[in-house]
Amino acid sequence: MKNLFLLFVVAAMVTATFISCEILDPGEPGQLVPLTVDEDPSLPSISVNGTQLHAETFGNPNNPMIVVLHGGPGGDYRGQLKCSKFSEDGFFVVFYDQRGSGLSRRHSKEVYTSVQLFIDDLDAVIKYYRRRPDQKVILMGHSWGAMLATAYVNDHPGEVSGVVLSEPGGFTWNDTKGYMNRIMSLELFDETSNDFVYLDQILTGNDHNMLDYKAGLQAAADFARGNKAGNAGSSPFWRMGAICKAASFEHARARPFDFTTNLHQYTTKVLFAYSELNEAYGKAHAELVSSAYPNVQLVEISGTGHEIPYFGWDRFYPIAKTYLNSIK
Amino acid sequence: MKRLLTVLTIVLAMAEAGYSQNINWRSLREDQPNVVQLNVGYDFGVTSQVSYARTFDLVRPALLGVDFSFPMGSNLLDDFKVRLGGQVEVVEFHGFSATIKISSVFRRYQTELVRIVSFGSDFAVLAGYYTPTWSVGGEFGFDKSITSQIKNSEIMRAYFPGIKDGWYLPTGGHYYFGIQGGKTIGESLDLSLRLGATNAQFNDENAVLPLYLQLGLGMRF
Repeated sequence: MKNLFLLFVVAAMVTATFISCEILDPGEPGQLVPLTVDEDPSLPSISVNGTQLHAETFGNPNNPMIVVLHGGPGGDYRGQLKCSKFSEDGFFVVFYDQRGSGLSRRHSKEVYTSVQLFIDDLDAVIKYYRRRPDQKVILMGHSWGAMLATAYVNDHPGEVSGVVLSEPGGFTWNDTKGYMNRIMSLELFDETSNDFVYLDQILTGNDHNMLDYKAGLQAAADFARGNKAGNAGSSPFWRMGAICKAASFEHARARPFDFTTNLHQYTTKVLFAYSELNEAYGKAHAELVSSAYPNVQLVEISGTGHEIPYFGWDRFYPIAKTYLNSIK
Repeated sequence: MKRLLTVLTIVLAMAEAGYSQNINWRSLREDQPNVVQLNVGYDFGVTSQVSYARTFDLVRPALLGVDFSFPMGSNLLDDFKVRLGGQVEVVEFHGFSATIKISSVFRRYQTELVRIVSFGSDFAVLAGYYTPTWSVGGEFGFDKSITSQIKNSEIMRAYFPGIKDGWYLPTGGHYYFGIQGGKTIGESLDLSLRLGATNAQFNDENAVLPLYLQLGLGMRF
């Protein structure tokens, strides 16, 4: 009888607690993750290739154009905004969140049928901003963005005047997989690994709001103490694109890619940066990956990990500026 | 109405009693009503678990208990799971047996980006063959994270100032199904094994590693 009374008291206390609380719906837009461009018209955007992309530009639109490509798939360009400084050096700098990522419009998994979709989006972004046919186009990609830049060069070797790459995973699925296995390996007794998977029992979902939020939380692994990527902390982001990321990886596993088939035609010098502190990358992997290009300037950016455009900016900027001025 | 349903769901979940302890009903003895188990394995992370239960007879053999589990890592107490509940053998026929397990589940999770506390429930059905010295069976269950209080860190707030802390409902759930077996050693020790797969509820995206594995050593006294 005493136990029954105790149970009743506990149930009453819990009921009172919850009655006094506002119950929130994790699927409701704008609560756990920011709205996307199709949900918030005040955000800067462009409509190209059947989607709506979060995009902004810096500098004179008649200057040589630098298109900045973020990592992921599923990341966004917030951590690369320091690159807007190149607009002060006579460049027109274009940023956009790739399809299904950052603050760009979301799509269902079925849409992500091929890497070609991202290449076509990039082509559409270039065409959208390009003022005249002889305006130079330079691609500046980080991580997956550097892979996408290379995929574009492989498809359109005659249309790119320069390429700045920082730590692309690989230009073939095999090289990329090798790098991913090193940087994302789950370690049984490690706090970061267990934090990553433990969340799966608390948050599940099939809508973009919940999944993007969860992907953002799991990104804590990227900057946790002792992370292999060598990141000193968290680099800013707006919103992860969980479906885009999952679908892209699924597709890559099912249909391995090779972005190197035409790279021998691209004889312009490419600036290829890798970080000093990323344990999973290093000079050996940088040499392996960059060897697909015939003409490479390989540089190590000291004092930073994988997030070169954010944490390594002070050392990256002068090197990139020298390279950019040489092809201007 | 939505709030009323919410409250009812939570109260029901809290009132449930459940457990994930591996029990061989046929090896239990009246003079050993207490069961302590130590388990290690994979349960959304490499986890250790300690549990206590007390057996008793209602109309059918039953058990009430509590368990505490936590994942490995440098900080052992920032994430954990507590289950309070019980199980009852509902059918027994020539060694074949069916058991229902119901539990309430409290979870805590913390990283540099968020702190989450979550209330949920776990319902499972087991069926198998039990002898006094060994058992083998299968299980099917549903573990629901009904509501979670999410408190985002300053980092998350800096990235998205509009982010809302509070109680979110619902937040997740998954089915699990697998096999389990046990072997009695001597008068009071039991070894047990659970092995199976998980599948996220409805059309939710699945876990990174949708598996579970539990090795256990139990002592009756």
